[in-house]
Amino acid sequence: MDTKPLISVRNLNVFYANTQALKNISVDIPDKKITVIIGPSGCGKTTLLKSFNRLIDSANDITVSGEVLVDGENILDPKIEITHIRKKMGLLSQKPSPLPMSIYDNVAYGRRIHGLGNKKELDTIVEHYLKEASLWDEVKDRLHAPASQLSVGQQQRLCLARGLAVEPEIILGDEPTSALDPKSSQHIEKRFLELKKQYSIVIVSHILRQAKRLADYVIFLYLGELIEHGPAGEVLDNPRQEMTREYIKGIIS
Amino acid sequence: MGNSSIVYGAFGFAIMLSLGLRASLLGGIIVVALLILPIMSRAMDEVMRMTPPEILDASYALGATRLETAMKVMVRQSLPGIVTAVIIAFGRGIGDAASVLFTAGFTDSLPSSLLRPVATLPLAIFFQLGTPFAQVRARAYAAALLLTLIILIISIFSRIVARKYTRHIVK
Repeated sequence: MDTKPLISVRNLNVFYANTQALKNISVDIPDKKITVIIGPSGCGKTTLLKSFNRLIDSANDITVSGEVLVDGENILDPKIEITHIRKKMGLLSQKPSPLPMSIYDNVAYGRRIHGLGNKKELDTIVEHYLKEASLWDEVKDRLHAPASQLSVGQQQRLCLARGLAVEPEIILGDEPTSALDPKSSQHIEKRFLELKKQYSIVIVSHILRQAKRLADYVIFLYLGELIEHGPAGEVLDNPRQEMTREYIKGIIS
Repeated sequence: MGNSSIVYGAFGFAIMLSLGLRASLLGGIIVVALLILPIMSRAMDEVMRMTPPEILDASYALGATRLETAMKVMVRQSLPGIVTAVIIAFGRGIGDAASVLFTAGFTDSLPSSLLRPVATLPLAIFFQLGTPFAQVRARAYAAALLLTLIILIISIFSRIVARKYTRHIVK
């Protein structure tokens, strides 16, 4: 790896009640690249992603051990301030989840929470990030309309703008295009390819073609175990592990 | 929640007796508050639990704390339900006679302090209908009309408020 890793996972174990969702995962996520986590359903992809911003904390009855280092800080440390960690990461969920407020307020939400009240500055920020998510032209005349009126594809771009507005370093996507039509998916994918110049992006995907289009680095999980990881070209075109080969050929899914 | 309001009234009355208090506006206020509190909190709790977990996660993911998420996201999402809960509880409180029967007392005049007895509309109806004088009974009917109108206005108002806030709700 040429650059210093942004997220380092060391011996991460996650249990939901008595079920082990992640088994001793150790992996480095490279900086300013798109990393795609692939694997069949229920293999722990989402759990791994959510452990990066500790959203797994919301689940009941969860036990976590190991380390997740972001910028050298172990974010699983109970002493760490969690809002500070989450500010560094924008999240796109499977189903777009606009907040129950206007388009404008959705984008401004994060910044307002972190103490920005100046209307002029907020206006600039909202416009900037809506453009960044290529949504501005579609919504500039109805910024104060409810976000829930947007189409699903637009909602996902709004969520992207909302996440970018808090100026994160990392964008996390949990199958961010799975609820979208092909056109909207393409839109989001295009954004990702441009955004990786400034951000590190980690996406969970079960679409192999999407992984091929986007990934610089690939992590393959199977039933909570890390089977293989490495640069996209190696893992996807020339996997070392039998299991990865079978998954890519579509034998296990 | 399903407790009969006379039980609240009797309980309030017993406590007031032991404290040496007489039936008063204050006693009525406290007992009606106790009566509607469980109705209101239960209805609010139920509607807030309906908040989709994804939008709460979305708020957390932006670095919001639990309190910020509750105040800015959960309350907004549940606002129509919260308004409805307040209205239902209000209707229950304003229309209830049994709980204030012993605790608020009855009088024909306006109370001059919190410690004086007071007539609620249902109590006015109750006592005035029982008199043999046609004029007094007419006042009872007037009180009944007034009560009905208040509840009508409040429910129309709640519809308007709820509609205004429904537009932002995420389904």
